[in-house]
Amino acid sequence: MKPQKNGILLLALLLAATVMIPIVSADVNGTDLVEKWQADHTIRVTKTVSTHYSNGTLTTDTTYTGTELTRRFGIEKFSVQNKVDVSSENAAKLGLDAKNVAISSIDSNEVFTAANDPPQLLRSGYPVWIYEYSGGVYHQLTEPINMIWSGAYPSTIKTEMTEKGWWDIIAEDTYYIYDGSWKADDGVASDPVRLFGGDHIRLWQLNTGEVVGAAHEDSSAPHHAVGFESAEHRILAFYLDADDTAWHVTIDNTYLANYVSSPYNDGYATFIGYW
Amino acid sequence: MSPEAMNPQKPLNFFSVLLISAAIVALWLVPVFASGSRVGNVGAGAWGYISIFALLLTIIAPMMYGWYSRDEPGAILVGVVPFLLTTGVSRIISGNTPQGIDYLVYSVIYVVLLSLAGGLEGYFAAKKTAESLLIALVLAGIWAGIFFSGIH
Repeated sequence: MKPQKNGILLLALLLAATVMIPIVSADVNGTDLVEKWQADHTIRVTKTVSTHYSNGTLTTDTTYTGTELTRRFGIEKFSVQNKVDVSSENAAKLGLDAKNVAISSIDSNEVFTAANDPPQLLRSGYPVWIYEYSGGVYHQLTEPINMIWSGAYPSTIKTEMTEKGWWDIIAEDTYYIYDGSWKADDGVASDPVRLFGGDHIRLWQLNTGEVVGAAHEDSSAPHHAVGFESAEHRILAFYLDADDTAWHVTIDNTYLANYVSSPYNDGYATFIGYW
Repeated sequence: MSPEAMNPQKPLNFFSVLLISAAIVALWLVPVFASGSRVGNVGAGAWGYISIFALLLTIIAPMMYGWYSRDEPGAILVGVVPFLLTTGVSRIISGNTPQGIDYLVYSVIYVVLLSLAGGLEGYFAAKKTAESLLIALVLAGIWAGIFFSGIH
């Protein structure tokens, strides 16, 4: 009778394990929800970068168009612009006309969302990606959040960088994260202009008081990100000085599921505590 | 008497152009070598002010040189050569040669537009009339607008 009891016990344990394993290995971080949100908001668009002159303005446009973009957001296009005023007289002298000069055009899958349809956050509450804004619509950039600070004010965090010669007032575009509301970044960089490239981080203070950062290495101008891990590691080193006894750095401690293949980002954020 | 007759064009002063171009390129490069600020754990620090000064000088030098020298070819060169040299050198220093056709095209257009705006700025300033100075000022604004469009 005893072997039979043990057999029943083993069978019960096996059944329990069968039920428990999927529960335990379920979406602990909330990455499935984030990925589902990403998939739901990914649409096929045509990206066109152009420079054109019209109505007294020389404009460099990065424009996204597509039927799904129009259907979802009621907009014909999503554009980010740089404008310079030029009078029609001067435009004629410069040979500028109203014709569009398409520089490049490519089809791609991009994540767009309306201001009132914010991105799904991880269970940890951390944002994952950063966004550019135009006309009530946010466009997700392939630039990951890769640093988290806890227990320190943004000014304290930035002091560690400015002590090393970094600049708090810099030339940069403004990008956003969602954390209960859309928040604009506060940038710090190794050089105010970065003509030759350099390291650059955007910071946002969350409602919890924690601060998240999107660190990247800029190419020489015109800028594009050429490294995420490189900048992350150089910045975390600011908090490892011998006199930094209050800073506690844990490299790649927090999984944010924002892996990027090129330039490489491992999907983990470095956590830096201050106590 | 026409404005051209009142303000005759001066011949190319190659030495001055070379000197100004070298000064601008040096101003851009000195902070990089002095602070090692391209990337890394040490930022530009006070050398960042030199970068800002270099940027301002790059913008106004063609206008100033053209206005005071009336050397049209020289002013065009001052508007084109320093930035062209600086961006060329920057590619070598950083090793950031454009990867991918999109970024290559973007980079070429960026540099060509800046060279065009800088050269025309110098050309109009060298005519030394109120109208041409105004055009040169607009072009200096265009140059700055294009430049910052590439700074993200």
